[in-house]
Amino acid sequence: MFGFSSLELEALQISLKVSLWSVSLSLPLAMGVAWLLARKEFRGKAVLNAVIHLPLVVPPVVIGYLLLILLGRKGILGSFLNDWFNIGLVFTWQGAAIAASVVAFPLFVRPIRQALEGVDPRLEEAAITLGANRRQAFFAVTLPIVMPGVLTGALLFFARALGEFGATITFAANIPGETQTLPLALYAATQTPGGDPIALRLVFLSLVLAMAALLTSEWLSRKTHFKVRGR
Amino acid sequence: MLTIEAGHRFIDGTNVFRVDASLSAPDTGVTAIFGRSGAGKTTLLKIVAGLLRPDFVKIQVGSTVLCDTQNGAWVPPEQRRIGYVFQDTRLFPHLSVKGNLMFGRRFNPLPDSPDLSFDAIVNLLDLERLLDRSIHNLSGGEGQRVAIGRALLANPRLLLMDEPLAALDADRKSEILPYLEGLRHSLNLPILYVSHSLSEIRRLANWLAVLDEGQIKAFGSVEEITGQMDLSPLTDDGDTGTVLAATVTEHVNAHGLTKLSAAGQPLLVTQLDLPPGAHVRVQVRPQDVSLALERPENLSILNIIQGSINSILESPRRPVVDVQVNIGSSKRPVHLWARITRLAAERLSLQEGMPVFALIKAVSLDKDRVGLS
Repeated sequence: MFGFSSLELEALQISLKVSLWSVSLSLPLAMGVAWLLARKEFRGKAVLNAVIHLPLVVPPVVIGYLLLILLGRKGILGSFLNDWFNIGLVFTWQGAAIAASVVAFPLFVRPIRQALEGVDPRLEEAAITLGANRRQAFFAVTLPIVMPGVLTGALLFFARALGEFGATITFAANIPGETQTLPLALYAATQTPGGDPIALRLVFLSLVLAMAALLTSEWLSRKTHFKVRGR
Repeated sequence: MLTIEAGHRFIDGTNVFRVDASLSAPDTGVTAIFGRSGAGKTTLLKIVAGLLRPDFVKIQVGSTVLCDTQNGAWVPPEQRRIGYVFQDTRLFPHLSVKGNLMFGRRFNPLPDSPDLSFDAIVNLLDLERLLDRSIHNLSGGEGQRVAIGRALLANPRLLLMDEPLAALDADRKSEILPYLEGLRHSLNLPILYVSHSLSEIRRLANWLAVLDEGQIKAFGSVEEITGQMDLSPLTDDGDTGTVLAATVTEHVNAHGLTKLSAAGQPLLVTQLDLPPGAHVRVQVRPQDVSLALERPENLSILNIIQGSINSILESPRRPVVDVQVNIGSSKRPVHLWARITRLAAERLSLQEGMPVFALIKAVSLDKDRVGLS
């Protein structure tokens, strides 16, 4: 199709699969963490906040290596997963998704947290006097109001996950058809003699994907913004 | 009956605030909760709504016990069906006016009474032309009307109103007061109304509970309590006085006045648009009442009311004294407060039991001070 080789299309497909899975799996977790940080006071809040933001300041390769130590076949958690559930994450696309999620996670949490801090918690109190329980009050009042923040977070996260390289190549390696996302394929192409045409086509695919994500997010945020502001 | 008993200690740093309130009010009509800021009015409403869970509480509306710590009964706030109108409206910014109004419908049974139907409430509060608006384009008064409608459409068994007018300016207040009066007349719903404005209470409330330092100090009809107690230390805006029950006797059209009968004595006020026989309430501010030992003559003041001094309230640091005059009979006392300077009280050597004449200018009793009861 359009002169793309199956390897290049596969890289696009893996990139999409890894990023979209990362977004959907991280969304509830990011909401939960953002809610904790915005609304609750507890011991160790500063530590949790620091740990969440660590991937922003640590080189991705370090994250990848830490994941290997933690989730590798001989790792602390990894050996447990391997022995009890026969789940291996290293060298799989699921592993790539985990690596991308960890690296991009702070970008997801931050906008949601800021949006939550902008919502008057007393609105939920009003909802409760109108008959909504705590869960219903959150979903009917707070969530729609913070939706633009959630979308911003999702876009930043998606973009970061799409471009993730260091942690992925360290933890999930560069296996064509399994963990070779667009950036990894591009890297491989640049390391191969005569790989320039492949590299260019991969660059083109990356740009199209990024533009599509930006436009979708702009459209969605305009829709929710319209609802929230009512104009 | 509406029974509220609550006891709680709030500890905030080194401050301890204690609520120990007990109140039994009729379950129809408006009960005003009156007290200065920090008296615990909002705390009491939050306890009734279930938003605060105190150490000890018993709430009963009619025959329904909503909570009773003595036998562990606790209906969670979302199931109490107690409407709450907040001072700051707390409308939902992501919903239109209609969306706000319909919010409670999702979670509550539909009302049996047609008085609480969507159309009836929209009509009562005049919301028709606001329905499609965003709440960002509402004035303060409109926002408060929407908030009241939202609470009513959740089909409440009791309505709590926490100083719904306090955040509004005088014009907005007078714009929304008629709607609140309409509410009181057309809905058979008990209302707890927190306020520290006596003119609001005079226009809206049947009953008055005085809250001070977390305790109910007095409870009774508005006329009784305003006659018994000097409420001025409890108000922030100096809007106090006595509320007298009166009846329209005749109109003096030639002079633009209306003659009322209060405690069996005639009382002239600026002209009212009400038929003879109508029952009204007159708010007499203590600073508008002068005292004389003899019936004065050749005086511009039209209302000269005979009575006797019941009590004199003075404190050494204040330059004024408050004199409580009984203008009724000894069997059925009706009290009126007069605020005069300490100098004047000393010159007249006022004593308890002394017969006096209370002088009230008719111009001080304008239509802002008189309303239907």
